[in-house]
This record gives sequence, structure tokens and C-alpha cells, in this order.
Amino acid sequence: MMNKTLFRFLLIVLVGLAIYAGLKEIPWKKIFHIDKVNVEIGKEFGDQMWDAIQQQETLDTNQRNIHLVDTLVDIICTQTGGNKGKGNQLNREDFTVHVIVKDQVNAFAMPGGHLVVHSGLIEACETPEQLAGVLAHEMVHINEEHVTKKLIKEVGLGVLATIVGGNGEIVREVLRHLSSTAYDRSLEREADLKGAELLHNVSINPEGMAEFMDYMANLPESKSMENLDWLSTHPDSKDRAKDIREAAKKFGPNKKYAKLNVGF
Amino acid sequence: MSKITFEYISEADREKASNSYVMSVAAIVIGLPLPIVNLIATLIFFLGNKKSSPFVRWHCTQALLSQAVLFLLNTRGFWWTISILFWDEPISNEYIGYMIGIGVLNLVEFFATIVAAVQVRKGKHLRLWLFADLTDTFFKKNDE
Repeated sequence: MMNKTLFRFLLIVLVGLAIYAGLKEIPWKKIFHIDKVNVEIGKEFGDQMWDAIQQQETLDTNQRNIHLVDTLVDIICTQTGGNKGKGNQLNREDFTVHVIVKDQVNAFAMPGGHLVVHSGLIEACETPEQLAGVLAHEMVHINEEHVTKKLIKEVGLGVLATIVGGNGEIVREVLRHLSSTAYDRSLEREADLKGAELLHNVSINPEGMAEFMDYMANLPESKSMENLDWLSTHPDSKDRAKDIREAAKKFGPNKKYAKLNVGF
Repeated sequence: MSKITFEYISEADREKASNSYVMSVAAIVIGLPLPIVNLIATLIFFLGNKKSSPFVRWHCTQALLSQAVLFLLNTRGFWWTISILFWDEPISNEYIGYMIGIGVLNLVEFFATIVAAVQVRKGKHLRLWLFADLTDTFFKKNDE
């Protein structure tokens, strides 16, 4: 009887494991739209974060800055080819660009497609290609939902879902926390390389992105301290400039890019 | 070794033995989602009936063993859920598959326990597949 019991026990363990192995192969996340739920929570949270920023900061009313940033995002989102390269599969409506008055050289992505650019960053860029480089980098963060993923990783899905709809102070606290911690290096690298590819696909020279990295790397120490925020969230600018240049060579070794004409 | 059987079962023993299953069902309802509650309830009932008749003790043991297996699986599911909600564990197909698996298992266990409670109350010596054999093994060892 002991042998029979043992046999039954082993049988049920094996059947259990087989059922489990089968169950985990089913694409449940797709069936239950789990990623969509995450995106929706992220979007809600992003909207709340933007509300919090709006209360603290001054929106830039300089039409030149707003037009410039909007136009560059429009170009990066170009879907059709022609002389604009093969185009990108991006939906322009997925990105809402905001320019705020702040000297600090910074731009950041938030869940829900909010892309916030400091006026100081626009002033710091010497060419439209450099600005396009920063925007493309942040657009990848939005498109790949890096911020939502980071938020879920930092605070947990349950806490995030609770915060959404909660009081503004918690949102501001999370925002402070988020801006003071770095993305994973792998996410930054992904945003650089995919951003450079986005630029190449619409015939914008990715060299501008690399030049901006050089600019950040070569800032004098006093300036670096002022822009500590951007540096701390985007480490190793020199290495990144090198990686972007190497990636750009692979996209189109002898590609000649026309200069961007966006009234810079 | 043969299966353990019982010849005469008194009314009081039927009620006590049936209650060992009722306890775990009631604890599942009260204790969800904490998987430990139903195990503790069954364990308390098991320890409280150590000096009862063999029929009562046998069914308390069967109830306890069936709860213990479920407890291990539910505990894994419980902490997995906690790590998703409060730490950085992502929701994966593996997690959803596991939760659906133990959900179905809990339902089966829930109905089996109700059936066991009803049948034992009627004085029938209901043997749950596998758990009855395990109970026989433990029961004999303890009786020796």
C-alpha cells in the first residue's frame, strides 16, 4: 500500500507539474490585456504628475521654442518615406510636448506621453539636430514605456495603482524621487540607440545626438553642478556619444544628411 | 497494509469528524486571502481531538493533510502576489498560469471538503483520493 501511495503521490506531482508547465505557456498577459492595464495606470499617473509640475513651474510662452520642439517631434513621427528616409512607426498623438521656463539643461519623459523640455535645454543646443537628438531619446523612453516600467519597479504596481487618484502630495513626492534616481543603464542605452535610429529613419543626422552628449560631458565643473539633474539621470555622456556614433555608422555608413531647416 | 475501516460510528463522532472539514471550509471563507488561516483552524481541531475516537482522529488527519498540501501551494501564490504588488516582480504568464492553477485546485478542494463534511456527517467513511492513503500511513504510525 505504501508503494501504491507513493506512486499516486508521484503521479499527482507529475500531473501537477505538467498542468503548470502547460498553463504558463498560455499568453495570459495578452488574453487579460495586462500590459494595457499597466499603460493605463501609467497614463493616469503621468497626467497627475504633469498637473503637479504645472502647479510648480511656469509654462514657456515663447512661440519660437514651442514651435521648434513641436516641429521636431512632428518630423521624428513622420511615418512615410520619400526624401525623409523610411519613416518611423510612431503615432504623433502619443506624445504631448511641454516647454517650461527653467535654465537647467534638462528634458524628461513621463508616463502617458508627456515630454517635458526645459527652455534652458533649447538655449543650450547649438543645432536643431542636437535638440532632435534629446527629443528622440526621450520619445523612446515614452514609446518603450520605460518610465512606467521604472515606476512599477520602484514603487510596485499595487502602490502605483493606489497613488493614482490619491492626493497630490504623494505624486509630488514620487516625482521628486524619480527625478533624483537614474534609469537603468540598459534603458538609457536602449533610448540612445533606438533614438539614433529614429533620427536616421527620418533623415536627421544622429551626430547631433552624439554632439549633445559631448557638450554635456565637456561642461565645466560649475556648469555641471548646475545641471546635476540631467547628468545624474544620464551618466557617462562620453561613452554614450561614442556608442551613438558607432550605431549611426551601421544605420547608413555613407549616408549624407541634409541640414534641418526648422527655423532654429 | 490494508485500508483502515470503521465499524460502528456514534452520532457524536459523526458530528466531530464532519466538523473537522467544516472548520477548514469556514476558515477558507474567513481567512481568504491568507492561506495560513485554514491550516491553523484544521490543526487546532486536529490537536483538540487527539483523544477522540479513531474515526474522528482519522478524519481530522485527512482534513489536515489535504489542507497542508494546499497551504504550501497557496503560500507560494500569496508571496508571489505580494512581490508583484509591493516589490519589482513583473506580472508574467507564469504567474497568471500558477494563480489560475491553484485557483482551480482550491475550488476542487473546497467542494471536496463540503462533500466530505456532508458524507461523514451521514456516517460514511469518505476517503479522498491520495489523502486517504497518506492518512492511513500517518494514522498507523501514530497508533503504533
